Amino acid sequence: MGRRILWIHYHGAEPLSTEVEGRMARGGRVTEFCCATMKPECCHSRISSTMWRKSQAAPKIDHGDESGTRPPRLAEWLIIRFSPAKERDCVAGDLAEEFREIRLPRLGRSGARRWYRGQVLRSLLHRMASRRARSEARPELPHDDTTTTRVSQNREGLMNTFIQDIRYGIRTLLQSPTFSVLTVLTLALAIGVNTAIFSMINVLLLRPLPIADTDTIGFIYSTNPQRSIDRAYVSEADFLDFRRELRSFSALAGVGRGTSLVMTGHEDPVRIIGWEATANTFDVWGMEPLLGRTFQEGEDLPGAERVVLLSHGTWERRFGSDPGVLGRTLRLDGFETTIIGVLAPELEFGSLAEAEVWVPLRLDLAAADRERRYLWTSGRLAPGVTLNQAREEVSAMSLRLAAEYPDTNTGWIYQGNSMKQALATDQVWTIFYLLGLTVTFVMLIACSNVATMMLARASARTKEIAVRAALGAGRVRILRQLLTESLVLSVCAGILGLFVAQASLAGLVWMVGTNSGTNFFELLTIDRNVLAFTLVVSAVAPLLFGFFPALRAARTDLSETLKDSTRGSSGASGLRGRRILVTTQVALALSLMVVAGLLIDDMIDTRTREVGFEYRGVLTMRVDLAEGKYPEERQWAAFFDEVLTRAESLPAVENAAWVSRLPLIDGAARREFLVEGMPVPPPERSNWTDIVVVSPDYIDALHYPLIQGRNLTDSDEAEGIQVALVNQELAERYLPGRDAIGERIRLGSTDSEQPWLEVVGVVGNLATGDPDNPATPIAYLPLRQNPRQGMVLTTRTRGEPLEAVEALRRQVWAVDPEQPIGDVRTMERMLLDGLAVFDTLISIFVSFAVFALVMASTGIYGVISFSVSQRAQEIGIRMALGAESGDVLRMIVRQSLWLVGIGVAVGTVGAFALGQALASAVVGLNGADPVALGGVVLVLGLAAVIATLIPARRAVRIDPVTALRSE
Amino acid sequence: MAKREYLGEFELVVLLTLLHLGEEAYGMTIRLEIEERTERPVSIGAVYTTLRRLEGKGLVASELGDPSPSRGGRAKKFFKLEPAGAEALERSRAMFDRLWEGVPAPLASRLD
Repeated sequence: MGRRILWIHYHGAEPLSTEVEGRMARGGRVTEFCCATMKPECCHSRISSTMWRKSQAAPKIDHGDESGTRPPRLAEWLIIRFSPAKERDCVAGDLAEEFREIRLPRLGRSGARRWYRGQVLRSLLHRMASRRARSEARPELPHDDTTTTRVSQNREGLMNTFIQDIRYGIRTLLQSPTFSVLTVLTLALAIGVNTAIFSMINVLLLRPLPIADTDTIGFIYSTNPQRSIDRAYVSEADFLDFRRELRSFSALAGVGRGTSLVMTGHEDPVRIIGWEATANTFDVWGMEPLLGRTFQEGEDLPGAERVVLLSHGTWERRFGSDPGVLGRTLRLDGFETTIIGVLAPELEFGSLAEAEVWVPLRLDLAAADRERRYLWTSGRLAPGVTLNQAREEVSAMSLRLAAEYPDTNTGWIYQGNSMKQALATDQVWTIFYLLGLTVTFVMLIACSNVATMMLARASARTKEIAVRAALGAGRVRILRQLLTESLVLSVCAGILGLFVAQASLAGLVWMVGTNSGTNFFELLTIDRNVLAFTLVVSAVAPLLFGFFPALRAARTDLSETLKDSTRGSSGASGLRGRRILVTTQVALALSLMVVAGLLIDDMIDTRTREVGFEYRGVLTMRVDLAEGKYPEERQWAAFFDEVLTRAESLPAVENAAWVSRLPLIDGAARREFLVEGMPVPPPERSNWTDIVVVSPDYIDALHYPLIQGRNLTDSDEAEGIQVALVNQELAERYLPGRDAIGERIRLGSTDSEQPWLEVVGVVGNLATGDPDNPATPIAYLPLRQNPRQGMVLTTRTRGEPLEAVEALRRQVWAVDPEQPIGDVRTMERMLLDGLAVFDTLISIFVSFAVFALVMASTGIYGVISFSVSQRAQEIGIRMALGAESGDVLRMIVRQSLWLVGIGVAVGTVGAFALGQALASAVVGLNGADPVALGGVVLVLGLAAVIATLIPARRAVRIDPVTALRSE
Repeated sequence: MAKREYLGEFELVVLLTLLHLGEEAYGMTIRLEIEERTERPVSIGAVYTTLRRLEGKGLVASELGDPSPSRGGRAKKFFKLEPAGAEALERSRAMFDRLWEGVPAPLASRLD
């Protein structure tokens, strides 16, 4: 039953009231009169009434049209609302008449509606413009309606009013210092935190590499889903093939990361980190050197003269910024090398900053390896080639390589991609998105808190605004002035926020420490991008938190507020607005808290779980032998043997052993292998394992459980039977149902020339921490049979590991006084450092969650408090009529629980979604952990109860007599 | 005696339209007529604003008329030219006559 509008014709002198009376007698119900007079000349001539269904006899009354030919309702509402009172009816009538009589037949329904809306829009704009002109018109000027005068008056007036608004705003804000300070602080915190996170994102994504013209540069990397490898690079042989055959790239450059080089011939011998790059690398990147030149073509071929580029930092630190370094020679790894240039400081970015020097990458076409995929490959796209085309070509070639070289390339997928993809894996991106979402939530919470405060303030200022309105300020003007106030607050908060951001970043750097290799934190600065971001946030924030309170305040009904009533209708809707805000805050806070809870859960889990070996009390020391000085394998073996003997002779050392890669810390070396006697698996499902080369004592030193067979011993000599230890996972996966002892495996594929290895023992697995992921298969090979050039000395010490450092170093130098020693750290510290970044992330999320909780609690407190003060009279009456304090308390708490309940319900949905996202990014995290959720709800509920009880107690203490007496 | 003021261009247009429409001049008809004669789009708001101003200056007078169903039951407001308005029109015509006097048409030939 719709609302039918009845129009009553009347002519001139015929009094309306009779008609109306007559209709009322006939059973119609008249519900609204526009004005009390009902006189014919009054322009409020419309009478609307509601009729029930059929019973009433139809009077001689015209029925208004139904929706079919009605003008668009929103537009109609707008024109009525914003026209001057005396005109609005006539204007609406004129438009309606033209709409029905002329536009509908001429233009059809949609055309007519479009016309109508156009009319409304232009009328409103005209009205605004002319009002501005009127209010700024100066009396001396002739009253000339030409547009130009109006416009120039507008422009001046606008600027003046803006400045006026700002000054007035500042004055008003200074008059309520608590409010202003609280607001600015809250906002500054939110803006500051947002800015800090944005800086991180900025460094990592928007400003990752100072490479000129990044649109034309693509990257090639590889993945091997079969072996659970989701980021590897390009092998040397593959790189050369790509270079030769890819048409989409005009030049391909490869960078091999971080070799440790021994530099002599300049001050004391020292170990520095050098990065290898193909000769065209800096050309592809478009980087000019600071001094001298970069590599020339041919300098990366074996046999070429050895040259080196200094990084800017090295040039400053080690060579005192001396421009005379060009042409000087020094020895790297024993080889004479000429310094040909110094690179620009911009290059020291992200992980590139690690490189102290750059040397040409010597690729021997004959001996290029196809297995080790370590070359970080970038290339310049050929002119006219898009990234998509390059992508396709790389994928096609990837398949070709896999077909042509099944032994080495099966399962390896090469992908060409933009810098964004090359820089970070999906996992990292998920974390970024989560971070971004979190800061948005934090911002929303802060803004809603501020909005709540402003709503409260707006209710308090109704008198002031009413007076301004009475003195002639239009609604738009008042709105503008209130928004300007919000803008002032935001700008102050923004400036303060920049300081907060700086402090947070400094805090982050301090927390992460300098050891963990994530040196990008040190490069976080406030730059142009970040400043722009802060500006945008500061500008948008006032709209978020200031608009609705300002709108409500500006719409205050003049007459109502100037009458001295304390409870205007504005109170009720203000409360509703605040309720919605608080519910939102609770929901957001819950989501953030759940995320934090899940992360904390995971952190505790990670730290307390079994890793499969004993890492406490173990010292690690990296030793890499220089190629120039130790060219032969037997020299390596001899060196490591001797150092080991010496180390074991130390009283402080319980066990000492060499290992090629530290468990859980270093990356893995994965190789394919075959089992003797078992059918060769198809290339897509080949057997693979991690390879770790160890000296015999390793298993004992780290307390690996020996499950079957025997450990490696010294009698496993270089010329003897080649043996290996395997871990349980390898045995179960690839030797199912058999006794692993005695089985033979061979690394490589069917035509590999590797020797067959006899399995002599089975040891325990390393834990992966993810219940869904199986353990990694690992094969341990004896050092004497598999010499390596660089190993890590792991020693279990009696007593504090760090105390043995000096003694161990001396043993190394006793064998070779010039041998540089790399990282010396306890294994415990290395494992923890690996977690450092993650811990920082957790700290960030937790602080956000705490912030959200505090904000939500203050929000609840505010709303309940307000509600109590609003209902003081009602409560007084209730108590006077016999309600106990318990009843009142219950009533208030029930109200608050209702709010919180809705917030929790909504928040749970959000929390679930966030939890799932987090689970996909963090290995081993259970996204839907009910314990975490339950715990969080509990904490939130507790906070809400406390926040409610304080004003509730106040309510209970209301003296009924005073409450009733006050207005 | 009203102050002698300039008539703005649009005010002029409205007054002349009132003259043309005579008895039939109310909001909608005025707007339609102006749009037709000036061959420019005109908003109802501009029409009313101007009419309000003219009424304030005493150049036009308004009177409520009948409502009708196609107007949703709302009344029409009729406008008519007051004597002062007619005078203003006359003065304006005389002024423009003086200014246009002797200007040959088309103008382009004058610009060489």
